[in-house]
Amino acid sequence: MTGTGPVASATAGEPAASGSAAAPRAPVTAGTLEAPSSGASLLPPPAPAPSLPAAVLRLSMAIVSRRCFDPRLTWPVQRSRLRAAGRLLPLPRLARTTTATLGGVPVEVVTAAGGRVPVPAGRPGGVSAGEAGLAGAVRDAAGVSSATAGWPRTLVHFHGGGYCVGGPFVARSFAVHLAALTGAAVVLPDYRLAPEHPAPAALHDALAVLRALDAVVPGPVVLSGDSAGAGLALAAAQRRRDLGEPLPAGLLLHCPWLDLTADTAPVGAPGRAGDPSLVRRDVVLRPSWLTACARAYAPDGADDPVVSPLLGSIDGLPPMVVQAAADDLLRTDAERLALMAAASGADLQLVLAPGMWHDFAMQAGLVAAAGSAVRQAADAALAWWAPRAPEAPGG
Amino acid sequence: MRRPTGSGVAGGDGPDAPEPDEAVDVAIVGAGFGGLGMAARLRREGTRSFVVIDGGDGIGGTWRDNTYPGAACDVPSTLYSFSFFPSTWPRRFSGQRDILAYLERLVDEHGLGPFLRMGARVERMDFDEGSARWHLRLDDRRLVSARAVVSAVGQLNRPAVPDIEGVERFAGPSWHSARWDHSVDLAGKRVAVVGTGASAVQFVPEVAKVAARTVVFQRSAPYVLPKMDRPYSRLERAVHERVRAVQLADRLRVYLTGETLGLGIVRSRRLLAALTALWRRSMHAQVADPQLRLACEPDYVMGCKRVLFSNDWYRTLARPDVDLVTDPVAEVTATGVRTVSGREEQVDAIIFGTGFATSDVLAPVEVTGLGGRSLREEWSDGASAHLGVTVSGYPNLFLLYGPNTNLGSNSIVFMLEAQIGYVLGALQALDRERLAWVDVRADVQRRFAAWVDATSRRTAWTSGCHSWYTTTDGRNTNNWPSFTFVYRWRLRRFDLLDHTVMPLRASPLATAAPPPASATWATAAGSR
Ligand SMILES: Cc1cc2nc3c(=O)[nH]c(=O)nc-3n(C[C@H](O)[C@H](O)[C@H](O)COP(=O)(O)OP(=O)(O)OC[C@H]3O[C@@H](n4cnc5c(N)ncnc54)[C@H](O)[C@@H]3O)c2cc1C
Repeated sequence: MTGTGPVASATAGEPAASGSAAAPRAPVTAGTLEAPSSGASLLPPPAPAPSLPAAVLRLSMAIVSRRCFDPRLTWPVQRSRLRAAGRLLPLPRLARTTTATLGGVPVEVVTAAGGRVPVPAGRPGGVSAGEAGLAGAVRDAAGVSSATAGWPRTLVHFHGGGYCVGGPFVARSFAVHLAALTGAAVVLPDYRLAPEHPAPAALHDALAVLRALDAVVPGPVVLSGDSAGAGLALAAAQRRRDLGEPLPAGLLLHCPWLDLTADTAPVGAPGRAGDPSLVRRDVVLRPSWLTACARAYAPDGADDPVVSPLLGSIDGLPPMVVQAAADDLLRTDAERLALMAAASGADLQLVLAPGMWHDFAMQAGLVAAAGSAVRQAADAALAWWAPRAPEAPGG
Repeated sequence: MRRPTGSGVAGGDGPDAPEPDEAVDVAIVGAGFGGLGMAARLRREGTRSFVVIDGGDGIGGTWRDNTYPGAACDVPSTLYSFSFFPSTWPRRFSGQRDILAYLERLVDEHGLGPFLRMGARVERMDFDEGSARWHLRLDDRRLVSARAVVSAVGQLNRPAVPDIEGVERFAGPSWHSARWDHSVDLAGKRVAVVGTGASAVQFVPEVAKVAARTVVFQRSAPYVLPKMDRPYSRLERAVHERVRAVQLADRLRVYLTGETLGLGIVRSRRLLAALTALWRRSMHAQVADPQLRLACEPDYVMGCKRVLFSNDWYRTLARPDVDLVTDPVAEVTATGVRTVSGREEQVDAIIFGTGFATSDVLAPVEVTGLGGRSLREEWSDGASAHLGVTVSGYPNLFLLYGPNTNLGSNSIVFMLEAQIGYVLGALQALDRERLAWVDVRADVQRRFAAWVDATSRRTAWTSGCHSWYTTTDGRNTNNWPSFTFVYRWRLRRFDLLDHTVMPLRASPLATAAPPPASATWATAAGSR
């Protein structure tokens, strides 16, 4: 445990560099979120999103990934290249990011500021997400502001990056879109990375953030993650279940990396490279990079559910939505989790995005499939929160 | 969103899971245009593992049942046929016999005979989560198991006979138009016809030609426009046969006319006014009697219900030996029909042209999906399906001519063809991604339903006219509320991401084991 207290410090209210609080009248990133409007349109949903042709984006992803996720480069080089690439990702305007510290872990809090936020069809009303949610709560706890938390909707998302690279910026666009569709505050913990901090450092940071949140937000959070972050989310949920701590309302796992033993297979075993056609189609990940990450994060072996949550049990966990990409080496992890859930009767919904690459939803707003994935995540999260949402009387 | 899960997985079907009499990849229910079109496309794709089940004793569905005199399509045949199976038609609006012959040719040329299972109705369909298969129970106790089910049971095949006091008391013969009694010779008889819908408009002129007297009981007057029907000349047929482009051009022209008539009158006031004027001119030209003209005047705006086509409907009503009665029917006696005003008509036969029970799609079949959910309960306040094809919670179940895919004035076959292509896309996605099933996402279906509601609100048929388009609370569950090309466009591609999926258990579980090279339809889904 690194946390010294629930909330050590907070630098709230400070508009972060990327989040410009502009044009309050404009609908929140309308067009990219494909939120249904109230007026009838002739075209059935989803309305065509202004998105880059997937092929162009795929090529860009291939180029960026080859430059960043290369096991021959040192970790610092990979990290700085990824950070540079992250700046290319456009953020919707009206996003509001705040930095804070929860349980001793630096976090970024993303809300969709200003105006009414469109809510997926079939749910009454819009949500006002201005000063609401966790941004208010963090300030409360820190004594910085006494703004009341209007909306008890908090989502914690762990970013991907193989436990070795990346930061909240990886998932910022995804978080903004999710925040806009749900009216929630999305917390992006900046957990410690390997190899400097091997397992279970990341898990300890994750638990510290969640425990700190227990004290400041009413009701359970939704736990989310992409890639390694999704593995972290599942491992954290398993650990909290085992310790009898509060469980999240639901789990969103995007392209989860769940079984690191597949990447630390003994020499000669095919491991992730076992399906050559999949290796060819995956433009983001290569087996050797995953192996390097797995070794860095789990130097003492990967066959512990702490690092490979697929080896643990999923009994007693909240409902899960799992999103996999068809052209992703890690899709088998998602598929195996789905089969596990089917066998044990757990509530899990898996979607598979054909033609998409690893972590495609992180390009929310750029490609139609990402929009679809975000909508699904938002809809699931709203349903999980529903019993506590004031707009659903009686729950 | 939240889905009751679990139950079936470990225990399979429970203690009384009997061996299926037949296990296939795809079970198609219904052998009308929809089911046969689906089967033909499956054959073209090279699939062999499917069956077509139909409760009737022959193929054809609508066109097997409706043999009444004058039965014909009211969308020209060039469009009321599959684009992948063109044909040369004897006339613009072909009669029942030619349409049925077309479907028989479709069966023959695709070698569908061995795949047909006639004479038993499907009573229930249950999805078994453990094996990821559907179990179809037939009314002859047979059990068919399938990975995917295509329901092509149509919307218009359960005759609706109104609940009129004393129907069973009538001493003479009586029947519904879709169950025509050809053994009764109507020549010289007095005949009562109840109903003035699409079928009556076609058979009343034929009946009136032979009957001594025909009394037509009308509840609500239809708009009947002239039908531009004529036989094709020998030259035209020769051209149609050799020059496909001519047929295609005709198809396009017919299509655009249908589109204009359908949504056009709903969306454009000017077009509506023009067509209403055309209708009135044509009606007045055939009917001189002001009294009868008044009776032929519908009490709703055109487009509210299906517009009908005939060249001799009004002419027939004006015949001296035909009576149009607008008094509501009170009861049937042993010898005739009495209206609420006490007027009694003595007749020798009664024919019901009262249409079909429509608003419960798939109603007589019990369907259970994931977690034992029941489609009947799900649809208790109105049927709804994503794009009219899929319902969340019912994996690998595809509906043809499902909710919100009926049309006011265009070809249902056009819609069916779009749906068939979409279903093929789904089946291919299952194969390609090695999936046991796909199940449309609840949020996707809900978003679609919201769009249907919003769009329908703008149309005439929800603006207060209680037609067969709507449920009792005025929601549109039957008709496609937009242009049909929008439908076609929307179904051009099956979007797997709109669905939750379950991988095949044979898929690459451990990354150490490469995927089986041939995870195909033939591969059983689950572990058992
Ligand atoms: C008189 C009439 C005229 C029409 N004219 C036109 C027209 O001009 N243009 C147009 O576009 N549409 C027209 N229609 C609509 C017509 O229904 C459709 O065009 C089309 O025929 C529908 O085909 P289908 O295969 O979906 O259904 P159907 O033709 O109705 O076939 C359904 C089949 O499923 C079988 N079935 C149902 N339930 C079960 C069960 N539980 N188990 C086993 N089998 C079952 C039935 O026996 C039937 O054979 C007309 C309809 C009627 C009644």
